[in-house]
Order: sequence, then C-alpha cells, then structure tokens
Amino acid sequence: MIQNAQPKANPDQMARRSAIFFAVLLAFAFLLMPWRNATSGPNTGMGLLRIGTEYGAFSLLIFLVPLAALAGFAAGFSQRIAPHSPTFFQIAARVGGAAGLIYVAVAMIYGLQTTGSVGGMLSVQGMGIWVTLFTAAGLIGLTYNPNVTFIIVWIGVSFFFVQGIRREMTLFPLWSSIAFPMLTISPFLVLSIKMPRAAQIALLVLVVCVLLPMVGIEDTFYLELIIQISIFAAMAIGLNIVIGFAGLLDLGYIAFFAVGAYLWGMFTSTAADTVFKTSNALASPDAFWLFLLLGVIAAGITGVLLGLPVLRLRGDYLAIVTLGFGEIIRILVSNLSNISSNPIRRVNLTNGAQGLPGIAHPILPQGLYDLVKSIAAAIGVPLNTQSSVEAVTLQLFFYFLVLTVGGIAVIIAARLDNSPIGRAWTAIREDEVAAVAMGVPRVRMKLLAFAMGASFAGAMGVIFAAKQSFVSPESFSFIQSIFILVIVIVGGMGSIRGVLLGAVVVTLLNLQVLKNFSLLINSLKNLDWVVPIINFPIRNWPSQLEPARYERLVFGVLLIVMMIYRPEGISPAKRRRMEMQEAADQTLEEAAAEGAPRPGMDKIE
Amino acid sequence: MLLDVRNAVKRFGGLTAVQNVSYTIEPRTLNAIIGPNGAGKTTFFNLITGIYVPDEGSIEFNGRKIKGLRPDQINRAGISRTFQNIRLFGAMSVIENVLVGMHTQLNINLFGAMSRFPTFQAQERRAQAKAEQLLEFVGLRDKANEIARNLPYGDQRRLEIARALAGDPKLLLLDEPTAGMNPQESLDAMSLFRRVRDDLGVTVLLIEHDMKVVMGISERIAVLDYGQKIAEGTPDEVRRNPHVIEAYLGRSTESN
Repeated sequence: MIQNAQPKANPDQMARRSAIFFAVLLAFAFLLMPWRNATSGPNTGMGLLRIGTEYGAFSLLIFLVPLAALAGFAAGFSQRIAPHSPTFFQIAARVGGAAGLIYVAVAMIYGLQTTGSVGGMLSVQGMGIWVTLFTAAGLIGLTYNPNVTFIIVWIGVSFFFVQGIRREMTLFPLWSSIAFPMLTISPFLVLSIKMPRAAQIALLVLVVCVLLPMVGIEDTFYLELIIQISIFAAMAIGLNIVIGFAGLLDLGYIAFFAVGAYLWGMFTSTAADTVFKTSNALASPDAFWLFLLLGVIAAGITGVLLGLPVLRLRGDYLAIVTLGFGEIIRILVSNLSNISSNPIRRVNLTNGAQGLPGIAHPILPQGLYDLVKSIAAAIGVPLNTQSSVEAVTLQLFFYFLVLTVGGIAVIIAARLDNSPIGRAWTAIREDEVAAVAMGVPRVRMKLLAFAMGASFAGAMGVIFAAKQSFVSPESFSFIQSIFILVIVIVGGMGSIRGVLLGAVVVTLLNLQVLKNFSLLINSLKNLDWVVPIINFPIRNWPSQLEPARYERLVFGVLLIVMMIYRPEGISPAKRRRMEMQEAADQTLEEAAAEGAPRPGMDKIE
Repeated sequence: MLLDVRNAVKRFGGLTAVQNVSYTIEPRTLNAIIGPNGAGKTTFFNLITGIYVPDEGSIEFNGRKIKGLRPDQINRAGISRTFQNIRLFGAMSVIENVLVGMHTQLNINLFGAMSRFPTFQAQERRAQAKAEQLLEFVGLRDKANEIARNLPYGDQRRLEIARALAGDPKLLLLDEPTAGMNPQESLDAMSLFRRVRDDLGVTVLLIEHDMKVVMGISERIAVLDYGQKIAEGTPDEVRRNPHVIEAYLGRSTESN
C-alpha cells in the first residue's frame, strides 16, 4: 500500500508539527506578557503593552526585527515543508534569521548597559521570552534545523515562564505546575530529539546545571523539588537494576535507604547517645565523605544478607518477603531506642519513633558560600541574610552532590547492563532454567543485583540524612518503597532514561502538582470564586477533598491506566517492550487455541 | 571415558522415571538415546545436567564426580545442552544469546564492568569475535543482530546449539534437535552435528525421535523404555534388537 511505503515520521511532517508547536508557543508567549506586567513593579516590565513607551529608540528595533525574524522563521519552515520552493524563500529565511540573531545581540548589549550584567538583562521581565524566540527564529532561519530550535524555544520559554510567575498571583499554583514540569522534562526532550551530540550535552548541562539551580536560588521550593527528584531518580536507578535488569520484584527497597540514612544519623545526631555513652556525636561532620562510602558498603551488605535467604523464592513469594524485610527495618529503627531494661545501662541507637534530630551537615569551604552569594547577586536575587546564604549553599551543594552520585549510578547501571553481568541478569530474567544451564550462577548474580541496587539507595540515604538533618522511621514507610516502584514502572522497567523520566513525573506529581491544586483551591476560596454554569461556590469545597490527600488514589489510577494502555512504561527499554509484546502474543495464541475470536483476524486475508 | 553414569535412579513420588540406568560415553563420539514418549530420556538429560539430582547412583564426567553439582557448575565442568522446547532468551539479540552461553569462559569482574578498563574491553572484543565465529559455524552470521524470537524455527534450533557451544563444552547434549524440522532442515542439522564433532572435537549425545537422523549419524545408540535401558549398541544392532522392536511396535498378542 502507498501509505505504508512512507516512513513514519519524515522531516516534512516533523517540520509541520514543529510549526504548529511554535505557533502555540508564540501565542502563549504573547499571553504571558501582560500577566508579568500586572504583577511586577515598574521598570521591570517589558511586556507587550509597554513596548515603545519606555525604551525609546530601542522600541523601533523591537517592532521591526520581530517581523523580519518571524519572516525568516516562517520561511525556514516553508523551505522545510516544500524543499523545491524558490530561492527567494531561502534568502528571506537567511535574512530574517540573521536579523533575529542581531536583535538578540543588540538586546544583550542593551541589557548590559542598562542593568550592568548579562544576568541582570535576563532577569529583566519579559526579555527572556523574546530573546529565546528570536534566537530560535534566527537559528531556524540560518540552519533549517527545527529540532534544535524546538528544544531551545521549549527550554527558554519554560525557564522564563517559571521565573516570570510570582507567588502573589492567584493562579500561581496552576502556572507553576505547568511551567516547572515543562522545564524539568526538557532534558528528556533533548535526549529524545535528534541533534548533534555536542548540542545535546550542552543543552543538558545548561538545563540541569545552570537553569534549574538558577530557578532554585530564586525560589527555594524549586530547589527542594529538584533535590527530591534527583534523590528519587538515583534510587529508582538502583531499584531498576533489581527489578528491571534482574527481574526480581523488591517491595522493601526503602530499607536500604534507611540503612544509609541511619548510618549517618546514628553517628552524628545530637540525640542518640551511643553504646559508648558519650554525650557528643561519635563522628565529626568531616567524616561525611567516608560515611558516604560506608553507606554504600553497609547497604550493599544488607542487600546480600536479605538476598541470601530469599533468593530461592520467585515472583510473588520474593515480593512478599522483601515487603516484610522493609517493614522489619522500619520497626527495628523505631525500637532500637531502649535496648536494655536497666535504665542506667539504657542504650539508645535510633531514638525510636521520635527520630534523630540535629544530624550533622557536611562542612563546606567558605569559598563556596561566597561563590553562591555572588552568583545569586549576579542573577538578581541578592541573598541578604547569612542564614539564607548558608541554607541555599547547602541545598545547592546537596543538589550537585546528588547529581554527581546519581550520574555515577547512571553510568554504572548502563555499563553493567552492557557487560557480561548485565547479559547474565537479562538471561536470568528471560529464562532462569536456560540461563543456569548455560553456566550463569543464579544465586551469585541475583545477590549481585540486590547488592548493587541496595548500595545506590545506601548512598542516597546518607545524603538524605545529612540534607534533612533529621530522620525518623516515618520516612521509610512501605508507601515510600511503593513510590519508587511506581517511578520504575511508570518510567519503564529496565530503561535508564525511562526511570529518570519516571522520577521526574512521579515526584513532581506527588510533591508539586497535587499540592499546587490544593493551593489553587485555597486561593480560589479566598477569592470567593464561583464555578460558572453549575454555580458552585468553591468556598464550599470540603477540605477533606484536597487534591494533596489523593496521592495514593492518583498513584493507583496512574498505575492502572499505565498497565492498561502502556504496560511497558512511558519510555520503555527496547527489550521490555518486546517481552510485553510476547506476553500479549501468547495471550492471543491461547485465545486462538481456545477458539475465541482473535482481534484483528478479519484484517488478515 | 568422558561420561560415566552408574545405576542412576530418579523417582518422582511413586513414579520411577529413571531406573538403574548405567551409561557411558567415549570422547569424540556421536551418541543417541531413543525411546518411546515418556521413556525417561529428558529426565536422564536433566540428571546429567544437574537440573535433577539422582536419588541413587553416581555420575562422573571426565574423571570428576558431578552428581550433586548445580547446573551452572556442571556447565562449567564442560557439559552443555539444548532444550526440547527451545529456550532461547527471546528478547535478546542472536549474538547476545551466544555471549550469555560464554559466561563461564569470561572473567566476571564487577569493577572491570564498571570501569571498562582496557582488559575488560579486550575481553569483550574477544568474546564478540568468538561469538561471531560460532554464528558463522552454525550459519547465522548474517543474523547476529536480529532478535532471537524473530528467527525462523530452524534458525532458533541452530542458535541454541551455537549458544551451547559458546561455553567450550566437551559434551553437548541435544534434546530432540530436529523436532519439527522438514527433511531438508533435518539433513542440514545432521551435517551440523557431524561438524560439531569433527571440527570442534565436541562429543555429542542426542535424544531424537527421527529415526533417519538417529540411524544416519549415531555411532552408538541407547534405548530407554519405562526408565530402563533396554538396549545399547551400533545402529544395526539396535535396529535388530527384539526388545527395541517390541518397545516401539508393541508385543504381538494372542488375538493377533
């Protein structure tokens, strides 16, 4: 058939899709401008409505250049869509594209002159959107590469969108739950879109190491979010080794996280008097790096200890035992507070259900604080008090630490997957009997998977305890294990990229989106808003029905929907997808064997 | 003697699947085990490869007691096998299947795999080259990167043999390797079995129902019936053996 002869996504379709996207984005950007003006003070606005009134001669450029750039922008696409169009369009595209880039350069110089720094220029309200759009228009005009342009526009718009919205806005929770996820998933768009490797890496570094921390410095809630995402991502990478690679269902994974967290907590908390009855903490904060390593080792050993007795079990039985193990660790830490019945010889290791307070932070060099302070000043967010400098610096330190450790975890996981060890894991998962008959030592390989997975969680546990400076058994409940499992399943078992994407999606859903909907309802309540048509005063919305309370319901629904429509995950591993396909085929074959009507049978002649 | 099974017994509850079977194999020979369905042939294979442990008797391989070893240890000792119902790693590529078969030949080093030191990479390259050679040997060289499940049936059988050969076994057990093949495929398979023995020097033991294959290539044939070895010898001897004829065709009864 003719339709089948065409490749699925050809460049023309790609360009058309991008064009539609750009149109939407452009409309969106125009919409965005007035809000920014309405809520920001004088002299910071550069939105649509003020163009030409405040910026004098510059406004001429503002009117002329966009037209040229947009011409180039459109012409660039028409060139893409109709490759045999006259050279006139090509010339127009180049001219328009060049004009767009000149505009950006002029804007930057102008911004430098007026605010004193490029960072200051970027923080001028509204400027960023235009800079992004014109850069994109310029690039598309000059290079005809809609992919790169698409992603730059996406990143730029979402970044300035996040920066532009202010907590004072009524609809802040709504905008924030659109804008921030847009920015945080942009690394995955970068990875999934075809472009030169160097551009890919540059954009990844830009988003992960520059833009996200910048957003985080401005609003520490975002900083907390990206740290949480990274911690869960690193743990999901570990769990993915156990579940995705080796096919062992572990429902008590959070226990290894607890091992790491309590390891650091027990030795540096102010609360736990220890076996040695010293009143001070046993380890100094300097020992953090050592303990990070110890956390890896301790959790790895715990993984082996758990694995030894249970690895003879398969499937459901293994899941139940690991579930029990997770609970055992949690109950253990809530009871290791009063080990002896003799009140004088009482030994308190974990401070029980109250948790360990005052856990030490690692000590950072003074230069780091100064650096963060000057960076913050440069991007227009002066950190005024000493405590806020310290808090932000520590948080940034943890963010980059988790990124580093998580990055190492990703590399290790990817390398293991592509090694004799990873092949042995896959073989065990695919057919245990055949794998063993081919000489794969079943128990040893499974233990290795358990230990590797556990050790990532151990490292994250140490970092988590140091970051929170407080741990309690509550942080390691069953629902947390399920949370990480949901990340792995939603993202795509066995796929490293999928698991990272899952971490972003699920963590944001849990920590930001649901909470934001609660906030939104609250702010609408304050406004006394009435839902039109059905005439429902939002004030009557019962507080029991706040979306933040639906977490488990939402996860449940999410999992069910995923299992029905995309059981292999959002971004599945190639191999998993085939396994799922095989399972489906088998079901079909069984159905056919039983004489049941086979879906799609009528199409086969 | 390469393989020496003495008085092996395996019971499943009340059923004795393998009854007091003694069996030996000389190096570099082509051997077959035949017998009616349910005669205990596959169970006998499973005893040799360690999937089941015999209740009684002993198994020696290459002068070493292997009874009670785990299947992966037995594979390491030099016995490799294929399965009656093909058990490939379906979602892995053809060459990956062979590489898994090479597991015992590789130095499995966690830190090597994590660091990708040159020694590790060199080992991977050697493994890759050897896997390609093996695929060449069974005639699947040009399908190395296909997904195992997508191979046609005959190729899946060949791949299973390549995978089993990857561990450099001394003894290769083939469980009904030509089941479901058409006559031409069977002929190709027979020449492959011969080349396994002649070119690679691997001793072959196969379970087979296709008498053309069995009689065509085996040097020695053992016949199992109801878990007992009822005959053993060259193809001609076995063909003429009255017990064998009886087991296959049934005893003539009074009424007939």
